Amino acid sequence: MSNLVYLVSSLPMLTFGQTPPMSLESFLCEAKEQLSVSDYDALCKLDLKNPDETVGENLLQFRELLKQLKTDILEVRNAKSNQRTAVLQTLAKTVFDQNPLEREISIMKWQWEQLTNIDFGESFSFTVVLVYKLKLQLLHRFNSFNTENGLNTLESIVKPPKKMEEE
Amino acid sequence: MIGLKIKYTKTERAKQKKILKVSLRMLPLFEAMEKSLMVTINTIAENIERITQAIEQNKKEAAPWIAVFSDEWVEISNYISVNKVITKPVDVAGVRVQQFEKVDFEVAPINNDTPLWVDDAIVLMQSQLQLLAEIECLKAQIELLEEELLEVRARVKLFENRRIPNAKTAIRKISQKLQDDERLMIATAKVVKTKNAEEENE
Repeated sequence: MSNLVYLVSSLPMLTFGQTPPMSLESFLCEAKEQLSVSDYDALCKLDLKNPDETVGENLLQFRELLKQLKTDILEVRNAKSNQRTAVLQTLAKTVFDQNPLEREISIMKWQWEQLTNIDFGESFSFTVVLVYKLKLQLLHRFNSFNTENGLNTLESIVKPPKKMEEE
Repeated sequence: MIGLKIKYTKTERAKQKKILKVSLRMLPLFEAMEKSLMVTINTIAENIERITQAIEQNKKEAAPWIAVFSDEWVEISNYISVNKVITKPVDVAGVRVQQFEKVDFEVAPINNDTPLWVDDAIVLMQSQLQLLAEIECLKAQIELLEEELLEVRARVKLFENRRIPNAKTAIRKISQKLQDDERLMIATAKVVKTKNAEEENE
């Protein structure tokens, strides 16, 4: 417990949209020193990119919310292909009128808010550490959005095709 | 014409007249072909310009959200690749060229974990790749048409500067020579006749 208190107290506060104060590696490094082996393993496995398989019992509520989010995203895709209006459960309808970047940020912000709700009132529990990792992942992803890099990525993919064939 | 040997015969003159007639008939055809090729090349160049503008317009429209392409969670290049560009042969201004039909894409399946922006990115990339493929086809068309234009221009020059003037000169020279020969023949005949008449009188 005392190690957990030390770890949670030593972690810098996170705000949505800020530059990540530390890398995921250094966070895990710090956590490794303070957590039990089983907790550390659970923390390492936890991955927001693959929540179905990695989000354990501590964040059941969050896993359910992510499932709902997926249902909404699936509904948007279906609505788009069937040319109808999407009926959404979790996200605000306005989110899907935004451009892809704004939409992605809105979804991430929603995830951030859900995570904040989960660790609200919890001070020095393992859940706080798990939520911290997920929030750190969100911040790193948010900070990877860069106009110049994005344009370079697009340019590297969109090159004149060479293979021409007669029909 | 210099260095060309002319046979000063009526047959040769008839041959040169035929060459002149054919050349005068062919020249306007080649000139029309040259004009048509130039117009076609200009039209294709305008099309390329129009498509280039469409590409820029797409980029401009995507600029507010282009940052999402650098999402560290997604390797967007894995989602799309071009299998082949499909074209069909057509005749443009008398030249066989390949006309753009469509691009056959290989699009990776999108699963439930794929972020939504990937859908928009695929649409944008498909559109840009399609437009670029069309430009490549049009550039290839221009290349072929320009080759043909060079050939047609060479023919026009050949007719204008060589065949027609050469035939005209040949006809003039042969006619001159035949006329001179005829005069000489008449003069000789007259001299012989006068000589014969004088001999009879004596």
